[in-house]
Amino acid sequence: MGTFIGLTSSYLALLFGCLFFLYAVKYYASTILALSTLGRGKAAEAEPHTSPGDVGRDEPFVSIHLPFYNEVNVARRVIKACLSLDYGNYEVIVVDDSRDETIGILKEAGWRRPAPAVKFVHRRDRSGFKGGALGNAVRYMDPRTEFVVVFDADFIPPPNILRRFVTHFRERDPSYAGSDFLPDYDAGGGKGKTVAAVQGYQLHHLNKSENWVTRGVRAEFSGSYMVERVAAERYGGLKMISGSVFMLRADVLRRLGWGMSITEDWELTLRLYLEGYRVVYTPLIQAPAEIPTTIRALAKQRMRWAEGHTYSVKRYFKRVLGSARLTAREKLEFLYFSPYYLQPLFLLAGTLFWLVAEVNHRYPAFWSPAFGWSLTISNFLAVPLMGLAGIFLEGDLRVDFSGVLSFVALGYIIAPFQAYAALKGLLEPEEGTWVRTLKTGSITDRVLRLKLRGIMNWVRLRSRLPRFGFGAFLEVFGPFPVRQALMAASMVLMALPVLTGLSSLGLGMIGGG
Amino acid sequence: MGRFYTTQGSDLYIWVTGEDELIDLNVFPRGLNLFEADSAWRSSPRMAVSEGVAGEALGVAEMILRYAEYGAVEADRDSLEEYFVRGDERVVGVVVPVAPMRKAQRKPARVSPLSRLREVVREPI
Repeated sequence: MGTFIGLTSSYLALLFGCLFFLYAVKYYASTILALSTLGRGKAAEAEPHTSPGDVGRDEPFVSIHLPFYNEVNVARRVIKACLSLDYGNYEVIVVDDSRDETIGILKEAGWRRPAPAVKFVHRRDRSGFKGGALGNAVRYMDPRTEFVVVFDADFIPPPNILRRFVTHFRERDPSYAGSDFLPDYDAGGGKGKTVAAVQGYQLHHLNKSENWVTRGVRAEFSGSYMVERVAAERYGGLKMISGSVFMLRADVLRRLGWGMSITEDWELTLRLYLEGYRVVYTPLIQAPAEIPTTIRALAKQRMRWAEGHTYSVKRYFKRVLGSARLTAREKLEFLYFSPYYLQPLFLLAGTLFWLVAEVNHRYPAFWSPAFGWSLTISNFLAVPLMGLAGIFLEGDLRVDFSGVLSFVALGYIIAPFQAYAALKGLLEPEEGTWVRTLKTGSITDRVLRLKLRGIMNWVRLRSRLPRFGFGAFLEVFGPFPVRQALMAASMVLMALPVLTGLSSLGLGMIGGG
Repeated sequence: MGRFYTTQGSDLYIWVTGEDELIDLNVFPRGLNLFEADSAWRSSPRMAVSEGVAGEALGVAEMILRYAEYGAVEADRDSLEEYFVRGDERVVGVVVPVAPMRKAQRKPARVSPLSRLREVVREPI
């Protein structure tokens, strides 16, 4: 019996371990790519400079859409921020499904001003959830609108955000080809495609010091936005629209409309790519936001993401893989995204089965303890290392280091919930309902511009800002070569299971012979 | 300048032109369910729209609006919807002071040729 359990466990450990290792390889490669791309101080971002006379000149009309659902803690804050932007040609549309005191805030006479105009659209039901509400915003937006920007209610857009989005569109989109257009790094053959959307950085930062959950989630977002997405932008993978802090072409949105999925952002992403468009990402455009503060809130949020994401993958799988409008790299990235929310389960199951196999001391012939350990360690450290690199690239590694430990713990706690929801999305004929994430309005941390000002040598923009070179790096981190250490660790951890596996395989074959 | 309201079926459009400010939506009692959680409504700096208003509530709302010197006018839905979306007075094309409404009826102060708005004063103010 022990032999059977031990052998079965070792094979299952190998299966799950190898499945997760595919993700780990991508995380390590992304970490190396992002660290080698960002922060070398070759150039800095271009701050769009304006004088008072420039406001309103050469500014395409932008419609900002704010989807609300019981946002009494944050409604006033985000509307005020949206009315204080350094841009002369825009409107704000609040699409509201609230059932609480948020309604009273929306009815306040103080929001009535000629420009920028604020429109409120309240529904008595929540059909289509956020996608349905955003569809209403499209219906009532000003016909002059050229671009649509979406912010969730817990975000605080900085004053220059519209100017930055518009500048980025002009520089990345061939249809805006002119003096401003610069070739990008999209090496996947997608650079000729029209840019339909620019996704900015959701800087989950406002309450990062509130508790261990917020610290952990913050580390996770740093890895995702500073490493994973930066790397995807570099190698030309499919980039997701992520629900908030993005700018869309209004003509495209009018034509396609919003879907009714509980992950309407992911669904729209797939539909944009199927139409031959692409999404670009930049960490230079940021809006700070708050972080779910409890495991319960986080689990609910992630379960919705997992279910909706997997449901849309199921729905669009054949169309995406069969489409001639997506590049090979975009399709590969889609395949990587497909079981995205099952990966913590792979890690959890792989680790558990490996422990059982270790206890029983029963392995296949080609197995060696070195291989088992190296695979486990490599898998275990891939995501935390990416989080560390993300925090490092943001510039406050010493302050937020502990968040990575919280992140690891959260990953294991959330994994079963996420996996259940992903399987539900895969197997159920209909999607579930939208579960809202409570926003508290809490702010624990002053929002800094971080080091992002000096990190972008890959976006070769005109620079009027001082460069951040090695001197600045030393000033912040001292002489210890953090970047090199993280890159070396990524390389070693990525190579280790491969080397020990090959070695074990060789030994096993020799032993078996 | 002008303060107006229009009913289209069970939908109530409240709107202003010129320098006039839109009525405070909190003046409508909650019981009317015009601009509450359980009703469908919209507002812009120039217009507020409540959809699917019950008949009795509509009567009370009209009384409140008349008290606030809003004049009832007939206008086609498309023009009003366009005014909501664009906020451009040229869409409705007419500026009629509320107080001298009777006078305006005899001789409109200014009517744009693009106007699809028909002024009908239902009750003297």
